[in-house]
Amino acid sequence: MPGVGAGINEWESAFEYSASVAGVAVIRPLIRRLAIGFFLLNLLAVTWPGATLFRSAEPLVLGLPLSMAWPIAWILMGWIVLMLLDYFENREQR
Amino acid sequence: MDRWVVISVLIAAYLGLTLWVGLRAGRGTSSTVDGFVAGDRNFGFLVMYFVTGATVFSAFAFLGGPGWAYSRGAAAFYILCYGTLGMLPWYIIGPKVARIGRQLGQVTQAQFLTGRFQSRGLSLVIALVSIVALIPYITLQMRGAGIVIEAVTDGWIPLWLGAAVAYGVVLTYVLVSGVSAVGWTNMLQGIFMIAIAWSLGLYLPHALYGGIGPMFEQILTQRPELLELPGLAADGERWTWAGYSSAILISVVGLTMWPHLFMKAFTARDERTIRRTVVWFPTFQLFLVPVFLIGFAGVLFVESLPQPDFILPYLILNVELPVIVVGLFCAGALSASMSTGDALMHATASVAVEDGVRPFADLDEAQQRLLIRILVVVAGLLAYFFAVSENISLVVLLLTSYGIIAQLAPPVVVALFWRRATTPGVIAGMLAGGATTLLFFFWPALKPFDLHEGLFGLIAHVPVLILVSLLTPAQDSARVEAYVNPPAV
Repeated sequence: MPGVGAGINEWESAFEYSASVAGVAVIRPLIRRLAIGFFLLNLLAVTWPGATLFRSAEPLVLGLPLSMAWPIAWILMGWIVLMLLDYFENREQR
Repeated sequence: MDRWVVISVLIAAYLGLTLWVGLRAGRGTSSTVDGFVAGDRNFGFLVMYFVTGATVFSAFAFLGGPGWAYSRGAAAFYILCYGTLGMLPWYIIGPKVARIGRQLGQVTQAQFLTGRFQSRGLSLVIALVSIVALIPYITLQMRGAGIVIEAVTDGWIPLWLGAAVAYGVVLTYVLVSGVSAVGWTNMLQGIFMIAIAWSLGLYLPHALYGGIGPMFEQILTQRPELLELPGLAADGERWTWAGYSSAILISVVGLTMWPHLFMKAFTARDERTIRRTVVWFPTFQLFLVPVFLIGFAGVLFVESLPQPDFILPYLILNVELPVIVVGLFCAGALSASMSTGDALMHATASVAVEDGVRPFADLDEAQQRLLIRILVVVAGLLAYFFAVSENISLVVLLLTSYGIIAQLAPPVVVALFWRRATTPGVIAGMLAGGATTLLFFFWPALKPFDLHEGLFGLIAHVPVLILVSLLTPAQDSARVEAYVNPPAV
């Protein structure tokens, strides 16, 4: 009966899912929490009040005004953090 | 041969290439609604990367970006700030949405939301909000394309004709190949945009000032106020920190809620593809750096331009550039316009049919596809009509729509993470948030602080959603679990 078969498959996949969740439960939240912490810092750094510390155009950083170099630096750092997050989560899942 | 003829030939060659890629893209995709709207859920990483990037960065980035840097200086940096942060929630939400969509056969945002919060009214409201937000967006892309073509051909090809030809190409490939055309052409267009923005962004400061450092040193001595955060407001006065910060915040919340972006979750091959798209998005975000450099290059060279958005075409035409560079610039700007415009037209029609019509009328697959195609044409014609008739209020409409679109964020989040959310709660929240946003948009004098009206909308939205949900009976657990804890595929 197709109905019963489908039911068993659903149960199996549900079980696999919870098993995989349990497997990564230890490491995943820590890495995610660190990443979320980083990006909250990012938000504070590029809006008021964090950005007021870097409002000035001088000094020029690699030819760019400080006020422009500051958000660019956060884009680059964000990229690195995302790569690390993805790397660790993907490794844990395997 | 006249300069404008050479440039026109280059533009024609570029449009021809785009059309060819777009028409070929549809091969191998099934002729189903799933195929037309969600590409059979089979987009790989490279296509998803370019779809996301090229869709986010529109004609606004290529024309408006330099325009902001030129006229408002550091205020433009807010656009640098929100991209990565705005895409971030997608790392968690995107894969979950994709999984649920695959299991329940969803292809649009409203289908996703009404799958948990069942209400035809809600579906219709989301469809209307999406269409009202998307049409002016398409219009701006068309105008952008028309403006660029008119400028580089010295007016030989007027705005109405340029926009009609460029969007005729878009219309053709979207009609034939659906979202697959959007995917593959965006890849071509994304590469063009990035390559051309970086070339021009490095070339123009060098040609005009002898380098990027010297350029900023000269701006610092003559217009220092331009480079200090938070830059200038539209009226040339200093922008407020509240205005600057809340522009970032509302964009962070709203970015992935735009229907044409949200729907792309349903096109991804697997969940890892979505995550990798988010991980690599910052590299696309860096595309704004040369874009702003172009705008700053104009500061000391162009006295005052009545429409700052024309700074890039103006510079291109008034700095003696080789004709091939002008042609390439045009291709870059058209890429930016068309790569967003195609996704918008496709999304508008898909949403109108799937969410506006289908809950009320029983359509089979073939009828749905036909109706979507008809509405792609209707949306295109409507936007074209607005594009060729002068209408400034469209820009205003677009800026407001960010506040309205952001109201879709709380329902999406609670659908995935809060078991106790209910349909009346979500509807009440949407109404409260939407009404508050509109209120402060039409009567800005009522605002207690100089914050974006969409933020006030969210401040009203969230408590109403929570309160009404708690006061109404909880949903049955099977439906809730399918969203909060979707089984792996």
